Amino acid sequence: MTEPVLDVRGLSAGYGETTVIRGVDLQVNPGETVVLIGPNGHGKTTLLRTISGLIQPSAGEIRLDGVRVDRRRAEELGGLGLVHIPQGDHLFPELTVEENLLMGAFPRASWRRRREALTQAYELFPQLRERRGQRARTLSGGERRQVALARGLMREARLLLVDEPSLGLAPVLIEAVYAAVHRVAEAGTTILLVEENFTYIGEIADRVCVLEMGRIVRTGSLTELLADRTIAESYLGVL
Amino acid sequence: MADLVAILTSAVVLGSIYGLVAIGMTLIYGILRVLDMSQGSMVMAGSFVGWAILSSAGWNPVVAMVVAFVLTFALGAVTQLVSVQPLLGRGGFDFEMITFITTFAVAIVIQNVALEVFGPRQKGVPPVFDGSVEVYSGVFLPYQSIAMALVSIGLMALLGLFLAKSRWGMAIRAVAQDLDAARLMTVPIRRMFPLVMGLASALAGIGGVFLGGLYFASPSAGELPLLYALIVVIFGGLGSLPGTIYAAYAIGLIQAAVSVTIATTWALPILYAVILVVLVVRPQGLAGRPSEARL
Repeated sequence: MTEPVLDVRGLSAGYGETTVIRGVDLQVNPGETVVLIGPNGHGKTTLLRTISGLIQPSAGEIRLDGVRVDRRRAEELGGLGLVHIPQGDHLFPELTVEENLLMGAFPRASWRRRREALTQAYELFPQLRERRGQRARTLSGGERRQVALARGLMREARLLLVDEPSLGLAPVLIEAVYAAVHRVAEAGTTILLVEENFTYIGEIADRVCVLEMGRIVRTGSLTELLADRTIAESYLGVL
Repeated sequence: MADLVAILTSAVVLGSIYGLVAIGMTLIYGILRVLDMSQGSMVMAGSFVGWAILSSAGWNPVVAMVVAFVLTFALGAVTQLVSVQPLLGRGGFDFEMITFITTFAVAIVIQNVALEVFGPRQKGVPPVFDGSVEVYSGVFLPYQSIAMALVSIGLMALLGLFLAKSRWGMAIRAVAQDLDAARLMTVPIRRMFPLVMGLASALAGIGGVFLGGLYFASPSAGELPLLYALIVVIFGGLGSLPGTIYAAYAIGLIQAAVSVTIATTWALPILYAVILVVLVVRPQGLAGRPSEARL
């Protein structure tokens, strides 16, 4: 039996006095793509932010490749191979597209290979090559999402966290974004991805976890979950 | 014509030194959202270094600048560690207001240590360079002022180059723009903050070596530079480096123009009147953008 890349046990966290996630258990195995589904405001983003160290948990354990990391800060965890592509992109608005990408390769080891990583990023998102000298704040929503994804791929990820890559994009752009995520998953990267519904995850989800009211209420393959009428109806999404 | 030359040369000299002292404050505000009130005491410390080193025969100005740089870098880093670092990430209070006071408290401590060590009397600091040159008929410019302007411009250019081109410079800009995203990129912010405050303080410290030569070294020598730096930083638009430089030269120009065409005594009232009008019309400053609280 292989050790999970990510092993979350009994994790609770929130903001100040407010607890948002309550006793979450979650494992992601090597090479697997796990999709976390759930309604807005039920703790998906908080869970990702806690895993990546932006929020300190109030209880529970997080292990990355067997190593306890729940007291580490986000800036340290990145060095252990955790890459988090945050909700709403969080680009550096006054940096150029290329500088944003280069920030993705900030750790010294990745910095040495930044040229190759840039070439790869521009191959995956050719539009960004034309925009390389432009400030991020001048980009369209679709271009920003591409920069956010490309920046997350600038260094090697042991675990890739992707928070709602479809957010705010037109369907045709979402498909392009998911095509990119799909390629990354195919290359063997271990992924934990957050979405609000089932619409786009069919191709990539090895396993789906449903997060409601801060708890994981169901786990299974997409087919299993779609067979459950109440879940299928809640998360099929309306387009 | 002589008036014009006098105004322009004086504006460049004043603007350069204002810029040098204020730019560190902008840098600190940009990444930490701290209005660092200890920057004046760094100028003061620098002027005492200038006094100690330049008044003993045979010491050269480069040594004075290097010593001022190292000393105020360390002083600035320690100031950050005692007055800002412990407050990070705690929430539940107004971070900008509290650090405004804690850095001010450190400034008062430094000032009083200087008072204990050196006494209250003003000490003349020999100019880094002696003599002056006639740039136009009747307009004399001391070598000290030329050196001060050149060193200030040189240091600001180096800082700009560092921020624009280096890996760490890019990381500093990234932290200023989105703290959480920079952390996700593995930028070690807790190590970066004291180093940036050290760097900013070191620029003010070098400014102090020159200002000491123009005025005096005394425990209160940092008060006026601090006031000017605050005005430049706010006038330029809090956190904007280009804004700070525009503001520094704009203020230098207003001051020089009023001093030459009207009278030196009118320079300050007119300067403040202009600042009042500009800030009422444009509260975010010359180059500032409205931004949200963050730490």
